[in-house]
Amino acid sequence: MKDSYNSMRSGIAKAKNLGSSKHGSSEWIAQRISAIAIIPLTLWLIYNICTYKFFNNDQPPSDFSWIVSLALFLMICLHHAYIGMVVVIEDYVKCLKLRYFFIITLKLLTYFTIIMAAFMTTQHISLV
Amino acid sequence: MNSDSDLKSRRPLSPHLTIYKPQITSVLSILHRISGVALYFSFLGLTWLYILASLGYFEISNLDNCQLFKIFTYLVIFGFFFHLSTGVRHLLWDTGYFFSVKAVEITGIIAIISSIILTYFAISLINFNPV
Repeated sequence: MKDSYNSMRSGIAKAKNLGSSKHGSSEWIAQRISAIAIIPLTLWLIYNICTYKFFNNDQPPSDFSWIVSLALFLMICLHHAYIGMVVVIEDYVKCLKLRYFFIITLKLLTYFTIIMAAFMTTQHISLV
Repeated sequence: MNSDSDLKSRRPLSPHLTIYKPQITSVLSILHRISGVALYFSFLGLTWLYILASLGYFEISNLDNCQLFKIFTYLVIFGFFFHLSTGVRHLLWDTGYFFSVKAVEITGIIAIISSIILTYFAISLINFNPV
């Protein structure tokens, strides 16, 4: 498999490490799957927001459904947004050094936020 | 003898983007991208509000009477549903259909209308607060 792929490239392309990054399609697919997943998650979150307001206004939301819907929504949404932002940066930032600086900064910022948010949601869980 | 960069600077340019008439295809395409970038920063900000509130550095109820935050949330909701509507078009195109000019224009108009309707419903649901 790998040999047949490499045989399609010239020697200089191999030496300069040009060609497919080999993980482009997986990010493309992840972008589509997360996009589809966000649609029902939004409905679930909106349902939880509405029913929450209905019952108690002065307590922080703590039931399991609320927390899981919020955590899943935030994580998948931010991951989807991260892949999209990488595509935008790759399209508009020509300078390679600046491009990788932006992408690495974006990655650190996004995943730090995702981990912090996921951790914070666990602080509120009360299994009623 | 012309240097390489000298030659490059004298080459004719293809028409710039601003010369084209804005059409539903191009306008929706760039707005999908702009709304996506705006939503990234909005959601990041909102998530940090949630994190700071959970850590006790911030009271969410402080925002109750903030008109600016209210306008911001409405804009985020509209941006979200706009990105969702135009995003569904992209998913439809990924299946390999709806590429004709007519189909692109019709789905574009449907996307604009549905994003406005969804925003209206979402905002009225949020304001629905019976005691």
